[in-house]
Amino acid sequence: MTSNISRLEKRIVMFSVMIPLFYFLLPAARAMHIMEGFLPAAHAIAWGVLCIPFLALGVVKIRKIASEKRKALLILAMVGAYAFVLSALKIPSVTGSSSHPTGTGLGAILFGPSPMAVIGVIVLLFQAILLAHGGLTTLGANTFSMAIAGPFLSFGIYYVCKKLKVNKLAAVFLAASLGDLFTYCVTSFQLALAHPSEVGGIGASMVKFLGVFAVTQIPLAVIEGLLTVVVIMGLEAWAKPELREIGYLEGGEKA
Amino acid sequence: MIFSLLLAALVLFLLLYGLWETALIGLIIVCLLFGALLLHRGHFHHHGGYISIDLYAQKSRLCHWHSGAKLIFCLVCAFISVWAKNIYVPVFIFCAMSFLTLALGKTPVSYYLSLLTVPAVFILLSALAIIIEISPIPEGVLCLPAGSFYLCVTKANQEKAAGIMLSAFGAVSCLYMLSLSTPIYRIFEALRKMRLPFVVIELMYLIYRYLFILLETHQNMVYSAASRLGYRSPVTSLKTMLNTSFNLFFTSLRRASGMYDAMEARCYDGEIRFLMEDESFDMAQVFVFLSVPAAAVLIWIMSRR
Repeated sequence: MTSNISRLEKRIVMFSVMIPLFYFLLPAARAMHIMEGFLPAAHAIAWGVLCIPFLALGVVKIRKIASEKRKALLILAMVGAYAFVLSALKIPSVTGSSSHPTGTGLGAILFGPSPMAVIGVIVLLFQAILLAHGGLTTLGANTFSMAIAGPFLSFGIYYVCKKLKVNKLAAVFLAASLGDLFTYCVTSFQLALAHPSEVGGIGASMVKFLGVFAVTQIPLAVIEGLLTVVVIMGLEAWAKPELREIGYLEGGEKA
Repeated sequence: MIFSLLLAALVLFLLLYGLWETALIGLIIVCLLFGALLLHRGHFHHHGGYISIDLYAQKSRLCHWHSGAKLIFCLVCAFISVWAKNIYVPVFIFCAMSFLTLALGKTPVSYYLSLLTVPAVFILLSALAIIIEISPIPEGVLCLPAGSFYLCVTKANQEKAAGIMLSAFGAVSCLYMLSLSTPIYRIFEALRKMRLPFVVIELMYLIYRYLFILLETHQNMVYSAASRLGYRSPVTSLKTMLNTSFNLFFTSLRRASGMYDAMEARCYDGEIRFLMEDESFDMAQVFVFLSVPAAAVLIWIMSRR
């Protein structure tokens, strides 16, 4: 068991050797939160309204979790704090980049997507106020891309892979990294919708935003995937009781 | 760092291209870059065990102002800044908010300026995407052929990008006014009075408490990894990063579990109660909260004609 994990770990580390090579060439930028004041007011409000049903669903879910297992609420809060701390820490890279993974894919795999919407909005509020990263007027749009679109896609991919009996670690990697990429696409779409190009309209503008942010977001998605795999692998090896408490390991696990 | 300065230079150049003589633009850009380099020295936004914005918020002279009113005030001003599609309103809001933060709140100017560089990279990258137009025919003030199409800078796009950058900085100043004068737990309390679901407020308090535990634990891990040459090369750095991140998650899970047991032993029944200091309203606050948005709207109406 242990040797199995360390071999896998080794393989992942070998694979990850490629990523710093990317990073040598890449410039630094903050991760994809739309900065305060960057969306027109009507867009900002519309995205916020769009988030409300998801948040309501999330609150209902969290209430249910809390009434059944109080301890799960604390663990949920810990996942939120973890996501925030990940974003506050700079990934040590050559350029002194401050990009960061979102950590929401991990939460979606552990808890399901709708509680992550609530955790996500809280983390985004914290990031806006404590790190000046993101903003109050753009809170709705950022919530939609990072805390709703990303986790729902991650969860969907994970679920489908599980049904198709894909290797679990591959499923986790795919779910986390594609969720991250999807967040980035949605953000670009939001920006393009707000500031369409004069010649080509929304489509051309989206290509521009995707191009500008691709340099940091694509390697970041890979890192996010790796990180989530390492965390899940470690958790399954060493934190079985905790996982059972939050209902992740129900049923015939590791069959 | 150098990348963001080059980016700033590029965006400024494209913004101002065609307005004045190119040589003059070059001179301005060199001066601005030099200033930015001087300004950026030695400011960090978060250290190991604490978050510096939080610390400055506690020290602010505006800390005792009514936090619910402050929250609404900053939101309204940010929305006015974004809504008004002209250049005067954001500039006014930026000046008013900076005055409140620096002169009344006594936040150090150097810290405020270094904080303003945080959103700069995002704003500059996006401005770049707005200025440059991909078009099949050459047009506008500056054109660069790229394969079958052209990368162009048009006058309309320059104006659009400038407007968006200004309103973004206006709104950012509102956010900073809030976060540099209000410790975040006062914001939770204000949200609780606005009848947000209690479970959300509780999660906020828990996350806030956990933050400091995690930051401290992580700092210790980084120190011990660094003392074992864990950040020697990019590859080891990445490996260390993955390992510490996992360990952080694992230890925090254990911590949360232990914390629950401790709380349960002290009669935790699903509700955490905190003692809150009273917040007062006075004439100065009411004056500020009403006059700034009113003046902004007035400027907006006047500049429309």
